[in-house]
Amino acid sequence: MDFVKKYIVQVGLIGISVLVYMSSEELSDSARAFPRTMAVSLLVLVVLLMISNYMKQKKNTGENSAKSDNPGSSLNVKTMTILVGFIIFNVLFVWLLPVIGFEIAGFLFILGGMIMLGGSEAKRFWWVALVLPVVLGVVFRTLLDLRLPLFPFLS
Amino acid sequence: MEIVTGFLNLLSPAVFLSMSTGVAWGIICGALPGLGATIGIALLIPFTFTMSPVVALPMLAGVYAGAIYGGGITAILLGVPGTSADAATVFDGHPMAQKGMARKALRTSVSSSAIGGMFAAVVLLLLAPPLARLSLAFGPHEYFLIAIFGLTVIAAVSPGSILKGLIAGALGLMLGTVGLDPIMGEMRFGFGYVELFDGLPLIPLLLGLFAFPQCLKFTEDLVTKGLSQININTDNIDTSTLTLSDIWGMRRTLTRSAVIGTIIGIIPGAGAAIAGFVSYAAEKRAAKDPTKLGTGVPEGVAASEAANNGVCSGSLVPLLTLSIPGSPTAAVILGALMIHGMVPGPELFTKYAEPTYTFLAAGFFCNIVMLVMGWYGSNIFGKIANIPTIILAPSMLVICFTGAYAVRQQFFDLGLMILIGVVAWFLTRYGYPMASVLLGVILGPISESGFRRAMLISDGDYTTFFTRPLSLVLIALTFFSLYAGWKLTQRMEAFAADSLSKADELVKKGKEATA
Repeated sequence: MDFVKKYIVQVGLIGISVLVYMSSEELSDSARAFPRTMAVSLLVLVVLLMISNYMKQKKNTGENSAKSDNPGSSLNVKTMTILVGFIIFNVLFVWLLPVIGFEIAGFLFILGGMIMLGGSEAKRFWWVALVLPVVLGVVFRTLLDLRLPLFPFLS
Repeated sequence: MEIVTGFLNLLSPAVFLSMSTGVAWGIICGALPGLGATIGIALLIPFTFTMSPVVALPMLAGVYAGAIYGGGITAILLGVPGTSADAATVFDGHPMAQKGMARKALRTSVSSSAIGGMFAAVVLLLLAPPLARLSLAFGPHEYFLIAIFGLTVIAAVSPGSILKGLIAGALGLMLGTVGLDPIMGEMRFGFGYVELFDGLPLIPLLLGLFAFPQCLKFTEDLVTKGLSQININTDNIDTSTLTLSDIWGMRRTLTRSAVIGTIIGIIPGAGAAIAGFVSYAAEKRAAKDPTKLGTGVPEGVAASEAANNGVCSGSLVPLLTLSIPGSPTAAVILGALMIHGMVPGPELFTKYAEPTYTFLAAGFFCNIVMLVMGWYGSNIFGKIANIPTIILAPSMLVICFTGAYAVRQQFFDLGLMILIGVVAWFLTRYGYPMASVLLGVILGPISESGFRRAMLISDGDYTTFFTRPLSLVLIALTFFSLYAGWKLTQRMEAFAADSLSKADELVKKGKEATA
């Protein structure tokens, strides 16, 4: 378990390289040569990194070196929970976008995001949630001639 | 003749407006710690999508120059550089502000930035066209090797570990194989999604690699460090000012720093932060009284600022001529050029001469716009740096979503951006540089078709890469950049270890004193 936590990225990258190598099986020889070369290169580089980290750790065996090699492992449960919640909030925005249109979804997203991050502090800046999506909508639709999802009753 | 057209294009209201908007946006992004030129450009690219490259590229040139200068505002007023490029500005800029010479420091900063930027832009204009012709001698072998060289350069300067930079590059090259195979037209790694037929869409990729992880970083900082807000009070800023004779008095510093910045910019990988420090060190050596530097003298600010803005145009020399971006920001500009259908190399100066020369001319003139904006408005930009993170993170995300969606009108792209963003945030936390991933994705198809064509020509003989003089030069350069990167990593590790031992000593002494 400790090994997985320490080398989580490296293990993931090895998984990706193996996946690419395996799923290129059905491709023609010519089409799979480059991705396979890259998958093998990635695998070799990751193994080299793991060896290098292991050697460094063995050499130093200090607390500091272990920390500097694994900066990502310092996230606590509370931070992780809020971050996961924030990411789910993003997914929810994407899901709601075609249903309620850009301006309303944008307003809810910014307001919700501010409340999530700043609590009652968000009250002071509610107008940002109102103004920004409207400005972006006008810029993209009118000035740049690009389409954004409209509220169903308006489309 | 095209140069004249390029300069004349800047007189068009649309081009001038876009360049000025770019400069203003750049200064804001530079002044906001955590953003900077790379994210500033990535956020702006979707807005330029429907514009003609003649209008769009000056905007990006403006952002690049503006952001490097903008970082100096917080460096001076707060002692916190907005971007790493402005780290050396803190040494004298902040003491000047503390001595009641904030306005003079800000004006020294903007005028030096403008002079450094203009000098480098002239060098770019003179060097890029003849150097681009050099790439006419490139065959498929060289196109493959130049991509590998570009990746090793970015990997070599990635903070932490060169191996992580190379891993990120290899990951990018693999992601670059998603979509139709460039030679046979066979679909690869599309997993049944028609949206991936043309490969990974560049705008969601750019936003996912750079802007989205930064929003998560803001969120993380808010949770771990609590609500924090930069507090710059620019209402009662002093009335000290900079005169023309002051600038004339610094002419040697400005010339030396502009030259240093431009040369360091041209060397792929060195970057604006290094230029600032090298130039500051050179100023210290050349100064009549070196002890004054660091106490709040304008020469210190000028040395750092002229050099870091000199890097902007300097770093575009290898990018526009050989497709080698020397910095993460240049890698994003490469992405922007690709989005507008422009591939770096000789074609830029023939087929796309008009937008290219307009871009180069904008690289010069945006410095004048920046000078005017910075001279009169640095206190306003300083105020913008006060924007709290609780507004910044969700607002930036909405801009990201808008940009990622608007170009292809596919909800798929939004999901893809979130996925790339989460993975990028995770990888960034572990020290993997995202600029290498982006470069891999961009250079992937070029290097693959070069590799496969070379293999076809040589009948599958790998030694073909060692039979051409130009290929051998590129291989030698690749190994050299790997060696240089390895040495750099070793020095950084030694520096970190030294700092840690010094910190330990201080803690020990503190404990002893308490006992």
